[in-house]
Parts: sequence; structure tokens; C-alpha cells
Amino acid sequence: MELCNNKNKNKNTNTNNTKSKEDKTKTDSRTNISTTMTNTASIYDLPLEVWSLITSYLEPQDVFYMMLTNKTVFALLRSNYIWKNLVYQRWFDNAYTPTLPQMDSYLVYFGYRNKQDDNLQNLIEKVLNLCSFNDKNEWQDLIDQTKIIWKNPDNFIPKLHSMSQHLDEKCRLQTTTTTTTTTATTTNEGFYDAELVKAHFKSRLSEKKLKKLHIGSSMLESIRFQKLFATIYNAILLDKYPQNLEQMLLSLNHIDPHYYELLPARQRVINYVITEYRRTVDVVKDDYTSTERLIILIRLLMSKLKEEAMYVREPSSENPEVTYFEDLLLLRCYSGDTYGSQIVFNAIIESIIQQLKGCFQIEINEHCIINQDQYFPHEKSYVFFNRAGITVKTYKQVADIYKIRKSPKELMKDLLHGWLDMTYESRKFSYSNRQNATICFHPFIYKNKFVISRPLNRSNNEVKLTGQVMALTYPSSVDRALLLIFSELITSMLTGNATEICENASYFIEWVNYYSLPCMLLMAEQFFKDRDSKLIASLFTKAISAIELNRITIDAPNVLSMNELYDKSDNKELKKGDVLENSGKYHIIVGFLKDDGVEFCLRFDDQGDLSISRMNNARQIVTDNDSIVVRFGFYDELGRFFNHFDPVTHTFV
Amino acid sequence: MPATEKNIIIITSDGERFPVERKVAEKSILIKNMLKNLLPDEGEEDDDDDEDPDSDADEPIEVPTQNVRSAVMKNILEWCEHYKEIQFPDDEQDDESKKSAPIDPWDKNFLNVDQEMLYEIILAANYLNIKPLLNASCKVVAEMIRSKSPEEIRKTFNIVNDFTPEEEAAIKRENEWAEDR
Repeated sequence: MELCNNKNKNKNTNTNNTKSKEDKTKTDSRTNISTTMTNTASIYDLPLEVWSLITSYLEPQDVFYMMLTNKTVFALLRSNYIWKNLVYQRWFDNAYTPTLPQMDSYLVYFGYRNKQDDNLQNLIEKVLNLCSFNDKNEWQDLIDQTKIIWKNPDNFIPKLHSMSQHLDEKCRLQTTTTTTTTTATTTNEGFYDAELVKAHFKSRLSEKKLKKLHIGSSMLESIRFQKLFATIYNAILLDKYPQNLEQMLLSLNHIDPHYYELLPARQRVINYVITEYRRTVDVVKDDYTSTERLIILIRLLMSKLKEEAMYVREPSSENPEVTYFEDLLLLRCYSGDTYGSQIVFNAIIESIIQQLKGCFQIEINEHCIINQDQYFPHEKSYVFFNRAGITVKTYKQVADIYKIRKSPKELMKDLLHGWLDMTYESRKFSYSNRQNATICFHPFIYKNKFVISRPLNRSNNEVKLTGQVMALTYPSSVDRALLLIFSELITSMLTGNATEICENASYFIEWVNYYSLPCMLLMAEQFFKDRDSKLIASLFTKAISAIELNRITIDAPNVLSMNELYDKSDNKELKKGDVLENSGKYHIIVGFLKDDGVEFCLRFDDQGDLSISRMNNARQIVTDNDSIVVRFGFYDELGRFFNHFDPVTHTFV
Repeated sequence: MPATEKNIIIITSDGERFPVERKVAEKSILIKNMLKNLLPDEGEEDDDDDEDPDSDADEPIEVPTQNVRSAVMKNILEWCEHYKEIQFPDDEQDDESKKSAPIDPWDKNFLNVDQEMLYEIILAANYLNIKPLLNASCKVVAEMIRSKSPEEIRKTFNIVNDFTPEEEAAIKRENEWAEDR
């Protein structure tokens, strides 16, 4: 009976097999080895789908060793179905699926990519081991070594971040990995993991490691910036578009990864809109004027985006995570968060219209779409749209505000504009109000991570390592400020005004020093040397030699005791979102943590550090040991609770 | 209460009949969906008031499962019975923690069977769409592979090496990255 069944089964599956492609292998299809089987199941019987699940619990190395056991197993497990997942697991956070270059084998890609990572890591480790960072000569060695790394930064996009994380991971204590809370993360308690915090803190305590890590991540950071600077340089100085918008977005990905992640989502939206447009309009094409058709098109796009936004709350059952993230990104892109939204938006419209060849005669600029329409004066209608709605105007109305399409230089500035503008303003502010440096709070929610800028404090020239080791956790407004200063530097280079150049270069150096990114100086020096700007390069050379290595010190966690906090709160019970001031420093209570019945209080201070301290019912003095500074990027869920910090009311909202 | 009655009959490939509660049978998403289609009106509540499917309500429903033999089904049903009161979350939101979570001790003990049976359980769980069981059993297989050399893996699974040394070396050469254990 059994035998008979199995035979039938095999027969079926074999016929299936001939039809289905390897990648689409589903539940029942097997490779032809099953014919050699006896009446019970063997390991060869497991379908690819099951193997994909099994391998998801394994390290790639284990999977590879499994493959080495036997030809049959090898043939089965080398499948892209398996290795694609492993590639995504390793280098992408599975939350979105970027389009990788077409490749025959993900196994080969895995090997390639892995090797690249190893090379970089080895190089960095070699450099780190070489130096004790106390001696000038060693510092010089570091410079030379680092230059090798920078020679080819192309290998390390688009997910340079993950490299930094790897580095971090490697140095982190082993204890951190397995202890995650099993409860649903929707509850407040769920997301604070006491074990993880403790382990992380422990790993922080080893000073030596901290310094090495810091230098290492600083290097990685510099590679990232090199990429960005080159883009800015091309756009501003040479007034040259990057090859296309995609390319530019890819570069901008280094500031904010969602630019890159937007690409696949965008294509999907475009396809949808085109299909829908054809369905609704093509039938009755002649009844509509072109302006009306354009409005229909834009409406479709808008409603699609709105609908996509709905998924944020209601993920589709098929693949909840992917939808969730993509659409969240999409929503962000069009909510004005990135300040480049109109440009991206226009690009979408443009590519839609390109694909709908001949349907429209249009011209797009920053402000509106100019549409050929015989029913309008001058045969042109001007369609303005933003998230709020669409308006159509005639030439006369637009004559005043009409501008020609912007040059690449301006476009680039526009894309960076919003962030930089804000940071620039606050930078100025903090210069003019040295007493009140706290004003340039500028928190961001960045990929679910909550980041907040640290105020620029000019009086503090020492390079400090606070808890924020990883480059990844540097607030993005710092990136943006650096980029702004850099673009100013380029601009001043263009005008040749030496005073300005020096001024901007010294701003730049100051920022870099403040944020403890010494490698950035090396990178900048090289950057200008490569472009024959000896003057500027020499400024950086000078700055490099001025770094006093023994001044890179570890900043001890400087946390208020709960006692003082209580004093400030007039004995009121502390609530989440409360802001307390103490000697010019602001502390924002962001949550409470329960661990073995003892309550901890989590708070941000205005230095951007998230701190934890113990909270007992009585107003006991909290010892130093109870104050733990943690990296706040670590609290993935934090961004969930607040949108932004309101500087007027001093609250997170 | 009709809910506690064993009014679902699961018929295995070798013709054996297993009467089970609906709750137990519905641990299998395949059967759950099947029942949903068969009894569209029957929700969580009682079906006593319903007049239309009156003949169906009393009579047990037969569910044939062609790909599972009785020895395996016995095991599967034991598992379903044990977890019948537990509501598993629908989707795998917390991927990471699930992955690193150790196998539930009861599951581990339950899956402590010979390899053939383990594979059959995997295949059955896959076919019947019982995700938690499939995950647990795949984890068991993963444990058997983890941190072993190819030779050790072969021993574990009784796999005959049919690579020539040259072939093996060639593969290793192509995948240098994996050679630092």
C-alpha cells in the first residue's frame, strides 16, 4: 500500500518537474532522485521550499558544507531560491528588496560580496592593529593605509551601513544575540530589552575596543561621504547631471537610504497608474481634453499613493513586511519629509508620460506641468499639483511665477535644501547664541530609528568619544550640515575667494572634529588632491597634523541622578514625554523600563544621549552604576512614539 | 456541545480513519480552509440554529489526506492535540526572534524520532500547512547540520559522498569565502 502510494507520488512529481522551472519549485516537486527511494522518506525527499526554511536557520557556511556532502544535495541547494534569501538576509534587512544586478547565481554573488566585505574588514583591522593611536608616526601609517581603502569605494554600496554593523557585531559581546523578547512589540514593555541593554553596555566599557571601533567606523563613514561629495562636486562645480535621476538617488541613498529604496516601489506605482489610466481613459479618449486627461492621470497617481499609504496601517496579507516598508518609504517621500518630493514626483509623472507615448505634449518644470491644450489660451494649460490638490491655470496666471527648469546645480541644492537649510539656520543660531546651544535640536526618524542631532558646541574643541561609537548612529543632520559646508566649500572654490575657502574649510574641519570623524579629514585631503586643489588640500593636511591623538578620550557617561530629576519635577510623578531642565540641559523622559520589578527611566538629554537610570519609589540616591548610557539608535522602536520634538513646548509629539 | 465532538474524520493515504475535533483538525490550515469551504455558514458560534445544512451538522465530515500515511498522521495529530488550545500568531512578524528562539522543549521531545519519520513529518506539515510544526521540525534538521564539517554531516544523514576529490576541491576553490572554519 505504502509503496504503491509513494510510487504514485513520484510519478506525479516527476511529470510536474519537467514542466516547472527550478526557481518556481513548489511543495511537491522533487528532483528525480526520488525514484531511487524506498518506501519511506529520505532527506532527498525534502522539497526546495522546505530547504529554504531549514537554511534560513543556518549560517551560510553551514549551508555550504551541507552542499559539499553530495552531488544531489549540491545541485538542489545551489538554487537561487535558497541563496537569494541568504544574500538578502546577510546584506539587506529583508524589509525591502532592492533590484540587484541580474545575476546567474546568487551563490556566486554571495561569494563575491562576502569577499569584498572581508577585504574591507581585513584592511581595516590590519590598520587598526597597526596603530596604538598614540604616536604621530602611527597616525601617518593609518593615513597611508586608509588611502588604499578609499581607492575603490564603489564596492561597498549600497549598504555600507551593514558593514559598519558587521564591524560592531564582531566586537560586540556574544551575549547580545539570542535574548529578544518574545512578547508582541506593540506593548510598551515589549521593546525595551533589559538584557540587551546590559550586554551592550558591557561591551561599551572596554575603552580600547571603543577607540578602535570608533576609528573603524569613522573610516567607513568617510567612504560613504566620499561618494556623496563626488556627487555634489559634479553637480555644483561642473554643473553636470549624474547620469540620470536614478544615479542621483543612488548617491543620495548615502544620506538617507530611502531614496534608493524608493526605486522599486516607484516602478510599481508607475505600472499601476499606466494600466489604470489606459483602462479609464483610452476608451473615451476623444471626449476629454488633454488637460482633463492629465488631471485624471495625476488623480490616479495621488489616489494610488494614498492607497499605498493605507497599507502602512493595514499590510497586505501576502507579504506584509515588504509592503509595509516600501509604502512607508513612499509615504515619507511624498509627505515632504525629504524636501525633494516634488522633484521625485515630477520624475514619476515624466516617466509615466514617456511611457504613454504621444498622449500628452507636456513640459515639466519645478512648479507645474505645461500641457498643450487647444482649448486654453495660447494652447497651453498649466497644471499645478501637490499633495493637497490639483489646480489648472492659464498662462496669464502663471506668467509671474513661471521659471525655467532648474539647472543641475540648483536641482542638487534643492534636493539637499530642506535639511541643509534647517541645519544651517540652527548652526548659525548656535554660533550667535553660544550660551544656548540646545536650540538646534533636530530629531529625525530614520528607518524606525530615532536620531537626534547634537548641538554644536564650539567651546568644546576636544575630540570626544561619547557612547556613540558607530557611524551609523550619527545624526543625519550632521551629515547634512557637513554636506552643506562642503557644498559651500566647493562654491567658494569656484569663486576663488581665498578667505571664503579658508573659512569654509575651517568650518568643515571643526564639524568633523567635533563629531570625532578624523578619517574624514584624510578623505577630504585626498579628495582635493585628486582634483588638483592644492590649497584646500593643504588646509586639511594641516588639520590632520593638528589632531592630538591623546585628546581622543572616552567621555564618561554624564548622567543626572534621578534625585535631581525628582527635585526638578516638584515631586510629580514622571510621565513619558515630560521634559525636565537641569542646569541648562534638557532631559526628555521617553519611557520606562521594568526589570525584575525595578523601574528604570529612559531619557534623552540634550547631548543626544539616551540614558537609563533606576527609579525607586522613594527618592533614593542613584549610584553611578545605575546610570547606563546606551546608544539610542539601538532602540529601534523608539521612533514609534514620537514624530518630532517641538522646540517651543519642549515636548516630543 | 457539538464543538467538542470528534466530528471530523481524517482519512489517511492508507485508508485509516482518525476522528478528531474540529479545533484539532484546524491546526492544519489546509484542512481549515477546506472546512471553511465545505461549511461556509459555520463560524465560531454554534451551528444549531442553522437549518440549511441540517444534514451536515450532525454527520461527521470526511477529510481525505492523500499524501500522509497513518503512522505519520498519528504523530501529527498528537501534536495538534497538544497545541489545540494555543493560538499561533498568523504571520511571522518577529522574524529575527523566531529564528534565534530555541526549539520548544515539548516539540523537541516530540520530534525526537528517527530521521525517516522526521522527514515524513516535515513533508506532512508542509502539505497540511501547519507552520509552527514545520518551523520546529526544520529547526531540528538545521540543528543536525549546524557547525559540522561536510564529513560529519554525511555521517549524520547517511549521505554517500559521490564527489571526486578533484571536484570537491574545485567547488571549494570557487567558494573560498566558506573556508575559514
